[in-house]
Amino acid sequence: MMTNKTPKLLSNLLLWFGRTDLVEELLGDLEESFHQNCENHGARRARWRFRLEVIKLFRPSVIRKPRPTSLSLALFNNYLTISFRNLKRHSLFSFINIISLSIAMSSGLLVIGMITDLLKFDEFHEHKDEVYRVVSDATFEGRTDKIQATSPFALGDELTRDIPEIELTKLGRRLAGLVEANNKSLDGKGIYADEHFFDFLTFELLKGNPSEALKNPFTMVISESFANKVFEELDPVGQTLSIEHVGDFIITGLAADPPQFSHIQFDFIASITTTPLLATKGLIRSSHDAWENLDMYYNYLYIPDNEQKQAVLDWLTTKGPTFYKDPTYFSATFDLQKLNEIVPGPNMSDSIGPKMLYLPIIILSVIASAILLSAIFNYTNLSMARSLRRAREVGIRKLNGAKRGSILAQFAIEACVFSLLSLVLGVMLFLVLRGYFIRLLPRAEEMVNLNLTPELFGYFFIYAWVAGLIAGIGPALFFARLTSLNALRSGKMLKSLSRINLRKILIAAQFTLSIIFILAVVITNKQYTYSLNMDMGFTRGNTLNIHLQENDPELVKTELLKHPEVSDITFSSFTLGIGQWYSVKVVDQRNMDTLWVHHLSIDHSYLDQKEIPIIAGRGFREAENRNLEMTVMVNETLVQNFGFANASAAIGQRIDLSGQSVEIIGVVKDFIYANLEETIKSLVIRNQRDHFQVASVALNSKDIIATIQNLEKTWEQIDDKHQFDARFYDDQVEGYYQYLTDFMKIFGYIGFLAVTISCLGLLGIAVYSTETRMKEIGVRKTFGASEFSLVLLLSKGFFKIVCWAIVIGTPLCYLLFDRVILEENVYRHYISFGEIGISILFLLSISLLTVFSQTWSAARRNPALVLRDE
Amino acid sequence: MKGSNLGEFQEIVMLSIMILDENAYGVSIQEDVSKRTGRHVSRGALHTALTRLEEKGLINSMYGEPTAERGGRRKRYYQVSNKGRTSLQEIKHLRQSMWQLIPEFSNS
Repeated sequence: MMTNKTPKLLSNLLLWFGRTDLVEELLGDLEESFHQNCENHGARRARWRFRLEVIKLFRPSVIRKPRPTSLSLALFNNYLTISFRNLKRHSLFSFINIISLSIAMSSGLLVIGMITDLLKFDEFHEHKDEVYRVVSDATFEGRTDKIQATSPFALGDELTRDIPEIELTKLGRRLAGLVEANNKSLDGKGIYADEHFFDFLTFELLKGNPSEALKNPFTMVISESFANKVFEELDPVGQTLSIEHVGDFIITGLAADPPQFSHIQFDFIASITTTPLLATKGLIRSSHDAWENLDMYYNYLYIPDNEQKQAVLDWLTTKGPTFYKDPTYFSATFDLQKLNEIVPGPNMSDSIGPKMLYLPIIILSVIASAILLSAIFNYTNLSMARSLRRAREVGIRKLNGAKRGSILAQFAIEACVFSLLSLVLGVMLFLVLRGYFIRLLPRAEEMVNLNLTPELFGYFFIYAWVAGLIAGIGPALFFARLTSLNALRSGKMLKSLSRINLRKILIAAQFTLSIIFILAVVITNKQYTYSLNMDMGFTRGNTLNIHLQENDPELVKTELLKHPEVSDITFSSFTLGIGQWYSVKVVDQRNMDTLWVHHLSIDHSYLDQKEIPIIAGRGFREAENRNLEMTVMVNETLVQNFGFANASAAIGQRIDLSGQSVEIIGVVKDFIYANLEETIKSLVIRNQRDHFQVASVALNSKDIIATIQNLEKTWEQIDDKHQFDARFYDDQVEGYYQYLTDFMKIFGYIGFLAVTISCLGLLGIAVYSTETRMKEIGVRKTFGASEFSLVLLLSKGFFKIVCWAIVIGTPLCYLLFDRVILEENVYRHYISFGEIGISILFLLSISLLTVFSQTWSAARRNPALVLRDE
Repeated sequence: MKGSNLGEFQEIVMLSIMILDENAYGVSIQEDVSKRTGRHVSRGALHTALTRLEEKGLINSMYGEPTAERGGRRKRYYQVSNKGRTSLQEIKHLRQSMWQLIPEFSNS
């Protein structure tokens, strides 16, 4: 008879909502009817009737009244009161907790703010889910580079011809330079786009016809803020604007500024139909629209549904590569990238706007979480340490009928009170720090603003709550598990509970983190000074590097040499040692081997000024190679790589340099022309006047500032368009290795947080443990223990913990830097024992100072005062 | 009579309880009422009526023994209290006296 069961879900539902005193009768009745119905009408109908009956029972007289839970308002108030009383009574503990939580939170808040901003990127687009861009992965003579955000010019047209349901807009980059209009000249940056730009991308055209404005060559749309800068009150539409080296454009429209959280940014948009004309004039590569040329243009597609997306993907994988006739020489594969997955997104070259990779975000989040966890450890540690005092309170509560849940709630609420108070301080810190934070991250100004919006504040609030709950869960579970008997017994058992090893492990973990960051700062600092002082094979001397900006080198030289402070001027195609290099293809004429080498152009006196020794042959003479490139110099590495017997053997040999046969006339000693991360490769030194970009001006003046001002005046006579762009060589090198100091600042700040938090935690524990051992100390002292031995006794435990942390942390950090971070540098600093020793000493002394501050005063206390009560 | 405000359904339920006598519990009352009135009565509706009546003190209830067919749950038996009986009587008298005053019926 009992083969049929009542529907489980519905009977459970009744159990859940029904009043407990009624459920037995009602469920019993229903089940009885159910069985009768089963016999009379069959199981199916019986079940349906049962369900219906349960639903009909959903009426006020049956529904359970909300139970007076453990969180009634009165109790809640009581918990709050107790929390605040405890906060005040144990002001040192509260201080430690709030300070460490708030500084830990500040780092988390910065990361949350950054992520919130980054996630806003391109969310303003109406069709953000339907717009994609084509990205490509090219293989050139067997070399595969990074995935490119760009794709061939013709690809979009071919694609839309085959799949007419989708829409296309084409964009081009590399439109920047000096802008002249309305008798003003200033720098501007823009993009090229076709007339479909405004079709499905959500950019607003304030004036002009969206489908016509970008149709004709040499027309452009200008952004509102740039128009205000150039034309002020004037109506920009119809005006002419000229861009240096590009041409004159007629302004046909006024666009609203692109939103900050857009990966496409522009001061102006020129019509893409301009580019073929520029190509015929030789202003851009004539092969700009060849399929092999895929680093200039972007194809943005509007794909209304998934079916077509699949069709597009199929087209890209099957038909896309067929456009390359000789795949062994050049081939490319294509893929789609969704509009709002560009920032933050995967690492691509030739991106149109700022880029932000996932990796730094993940690293920052992990570090921020580690710091927060460290502060949470403190809270847990200190709360457990106080368990003796709080146990009585819990015991009384339990005796008066508090359930496990209400004790849990009490301690959770207390932790949340702490975390919310810390949030207030943390937000203040956030407001102070956000400026530094943005400046520290490369190109972050363009991407994040960290404005404290209500939305962001909401996230902060949730973050603080979660942090509070995590911090509270340990003590809450601990106290909730206590029986009232144990809690009230002045307790041996509690003592053993409060001295669990977990606390030691937590402290050790904190100090491990601290030593890692201290070491990181020390090592980065060493690498920085090493980089600055490294002998790169040439002298930087007291030289000023002036960017030529396409002025005639001879003219610059004669004009600047008129100043008596200028002792010498030489020219080169780039500044050595700050991460620049250019490649050229070279054919060895003996065996027709093709090699990619780096090349540098210098004038005849450059090697003298830089004190680069020539080890064989001769240097360039004045005016050599003026008409036709006949001779080059090379470095030692090239001699080796080309398989010449020695430097002298290379003299007189001929090589093919971009189709021109040239003779090697000299060999120079290797010098680091690129940077410390790169090995020295084969270098061809040429004497090409039209490659000169930089003038190295050797100065011998006392008043540097006045000299530079004089030079600037002369510059203005030579070139009235371009700004005088001069920097001291040493400053440039320092600037190039700036990223190391940036690292140092980040590590330094985090290290400061880690050390502060762990020392605060240690202080709290030291206070607690000396307090509980007061009597023991008193007794020892009356029996004649010296103050020194007492301090030693009290500090020994902590000393051990810190030592453990050092033993674990030091090798970890050493391996991280030695094998991972510095591994990329060819010329690098090797970590020495001295540096490790200094870091360890620093951490040991700061932690022992913290402990001694407590143990010393405890050891000195008059035992009579402590033992009087007994 | 004033204040007891017995609804029609409640009156039927009370009468049914009295008819069923010793065996008046949820299922039997539900069946009895459904049978007599010829319309399906949901357990929920019955529950509301029973609760009201018990609040007014017109019926009492007590738990019986658990049975297997109820999934081991106890029955709750109802019986009409003295106050309930008086109310029913009053209603009956009121109705009878009124019926008698209807000319059509009183003369027959």
